[in-house]
Amino acid sequence: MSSIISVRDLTKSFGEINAVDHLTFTVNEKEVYGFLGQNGAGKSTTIRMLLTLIKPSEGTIDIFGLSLKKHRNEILRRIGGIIEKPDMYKYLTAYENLSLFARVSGIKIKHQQLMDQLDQVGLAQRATSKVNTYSQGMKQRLGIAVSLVNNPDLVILDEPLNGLDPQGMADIRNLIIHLSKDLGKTIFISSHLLSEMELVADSLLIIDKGKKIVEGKMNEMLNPATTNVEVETASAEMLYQKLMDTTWKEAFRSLEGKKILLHMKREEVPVFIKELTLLNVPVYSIRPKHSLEDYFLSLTVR
Amino acid sequence: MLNLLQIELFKIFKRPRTYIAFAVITVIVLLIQVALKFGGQEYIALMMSGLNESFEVPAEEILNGYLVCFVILNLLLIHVPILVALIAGDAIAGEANMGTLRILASKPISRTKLLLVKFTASSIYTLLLLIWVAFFALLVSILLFGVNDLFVARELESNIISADDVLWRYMAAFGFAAIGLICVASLAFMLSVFAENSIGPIVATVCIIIIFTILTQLQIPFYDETIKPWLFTTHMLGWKGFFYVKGVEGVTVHGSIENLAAIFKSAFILMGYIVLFLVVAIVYFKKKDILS
Amino acid sequence: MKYLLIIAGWLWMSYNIYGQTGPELLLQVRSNLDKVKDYEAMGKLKTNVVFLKTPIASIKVFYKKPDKLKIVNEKGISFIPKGSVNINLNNFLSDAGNYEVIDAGKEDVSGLRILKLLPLDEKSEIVLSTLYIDEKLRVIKRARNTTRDNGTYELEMIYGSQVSFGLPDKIIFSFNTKDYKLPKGVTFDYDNGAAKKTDDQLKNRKGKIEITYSEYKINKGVDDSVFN
Repeated sequence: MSSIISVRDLTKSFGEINAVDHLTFTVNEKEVYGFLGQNGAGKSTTIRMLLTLIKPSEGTIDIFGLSLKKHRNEILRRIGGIIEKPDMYKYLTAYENLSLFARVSGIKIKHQQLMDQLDQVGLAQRATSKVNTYSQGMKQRLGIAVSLVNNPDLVILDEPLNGLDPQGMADIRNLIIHLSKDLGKTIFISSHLLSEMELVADSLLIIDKGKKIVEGKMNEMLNPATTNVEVETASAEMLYQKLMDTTWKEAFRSLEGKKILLHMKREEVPVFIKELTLLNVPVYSIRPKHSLEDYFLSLTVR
Repeated sequence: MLNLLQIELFKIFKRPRTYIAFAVITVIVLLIQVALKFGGQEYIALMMSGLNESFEVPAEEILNGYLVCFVILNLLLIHVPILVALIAGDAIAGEANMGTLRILASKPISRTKLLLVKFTASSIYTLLLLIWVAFFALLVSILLFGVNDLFVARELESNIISADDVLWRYMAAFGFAAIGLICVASLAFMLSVFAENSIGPIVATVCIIIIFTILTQLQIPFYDETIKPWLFTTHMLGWKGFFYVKGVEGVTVHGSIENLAAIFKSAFILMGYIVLFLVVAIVYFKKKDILS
Repeated sequence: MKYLLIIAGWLWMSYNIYGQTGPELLLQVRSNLDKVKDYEAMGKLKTNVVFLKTPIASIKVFYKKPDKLKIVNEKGISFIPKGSVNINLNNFLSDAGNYEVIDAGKEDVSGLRILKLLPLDEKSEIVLSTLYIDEKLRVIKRARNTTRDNGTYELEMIYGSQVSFGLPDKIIFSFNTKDYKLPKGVTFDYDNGAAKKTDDQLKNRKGKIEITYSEYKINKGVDDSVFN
């Protein structure tokens, strides 16, 4: 599988602060690539550099095998993107906005094609309404339509699910999967909705303070060598006191209500369960937690 | 480029605030015309204060459509720049404020081209505004007041221009005024590139014009020799030069212009400013990080 | 005998031409002018004032005895100097009996007879008139009038086909002007670098208009409404 995006040592400094710090990653063709990080980690800055809104301080970006610096227009013709909260021309209708951005992209697009695009994001019925009458979710959908209007090979989506209701999220999620799996588009998507990312992303990049923390395939990350274990008990406080006198002291992560969270190697879990029963504390349930959220938090929470 | 220009003009003329300027001009011009229709004699008396002690002043003939247009342009060409700044100052900063600049700047068009297209659209708007001024100030004044010779009052002398020698001067004056107003548009446009909100560039443009106009009118030798010759507001008055005629023993030379070379010089200086402001805008915008 | 008659005739003519007193000459001039009850004429008006540039205007001049004069520009704007009513010689000779006439002899260069008129009426607008008269043609070639309120003005008349009526083909009227300056904040002048007028020029205070007459219609009747 060839790489669509190849980023090497990408750095962006604002004064003395490195918003993005020697970031290196690769996005392969036709995959859905998840881009995660806390607020202020450098995700939007990275995406703006990919879309040439910001000039990198250092590093290189190659897209479709071409240098972005040298082949900007050629590359951008094949990219569609939205950044953060998509803003449109509020005094124009959805149809006019979509038509306008299509023409700016150099696309000649017919009326029916525009209506199909709007229908794809569930806005066909409100095509002639001015955008200033739209809810945030509708604007989000319109933003996605704008990013797709030029039939791009690479779609860059920054927080595309913000403001959407559960049905809306499901629709966009299905659209992303359809674009990738059926139409063979490469999707680069950042979102803080980790549960959604878990459902759509093939690969993942997690950054923190501008630096890469981890990059890899989703299925490999969700089966890591270590895991979180959640214990629900009658008296979490009593269990905590007893654990502090054992070698499991280092594994302790958090206590909330009647639940204690520990982090350990996967092969240690059976040993832990066995020693837990010897502590004589009533236990209601023991659950491994290795969702994406758990994984993300384990990497980024201090 | 033409496609992009059509899009920019579409955006400008779809926006309600665009029509405010046209409405304001219409109201101002009509107010001036009504005021002169009913109180024009007092205005003539003021202008003739240096002459009516020596001459019988034909006030009714002096107050004609050509004079009314001249009066309107005298007043309006101080205020129209503000209306020009409303649109030109919004060209980039307005997009940044709306959040649409980041979409435009991530499209496969160079930043230079984007800027040039937006500036061209602002300039076309400016020209349409000027044509509107011309229509109301000249044509409507002629309809209301008729035509006769044009009396042009200057500080140290007055010129009378035959009625059949006036119209082409107005065409030339409007052509020159277009250059002056596009210079204002280019200033507002340049300031727009530095801002994320259009209020800043609009207010800054208006302040610069007011300050420079005051400096242009002040008669302080230090300024006369140093900065005044370089202020664009000094040269924006060049449209009047088409109404300053040559005289031989007091007789107006038909079809003459007192100093055409000066008008050309002013036009070139204004065009130089347009180029300067545009170049600064383009150089800055090409390097700018778009964070809006 | 024949020679005696010729000499006598020459002496008689000389007496008539050169031997008249001032008042007698003035009466002759007056009687010439009195032939004209009214006239209407086309004219070209040229103005020469340091602070005014104006095209040559096509005008109409109307006169009706004893003192009505109107200069009209039907197509454009003309600035007619105040006191221009005195362009018509009849206007200040209308009351010729009310003057003391002083014979000042002849002007050396031109040979014109010089008469000075001092009005007897203390309220008269004109305080002194100096007339330069062509005795042969019985017309006033030049006049200089000093007025009470409007300074001194001069008239120069050039005669042609209407000399028998005392009506000139061309008249040059020189008059005084007041200072002219408008506030810069009113005019918002464009500085086009044109040569600024010198102080001497600005303080010139002398203006001149020239009217070249044509198409006189003499004694055809002029309606009073023209002078309103």
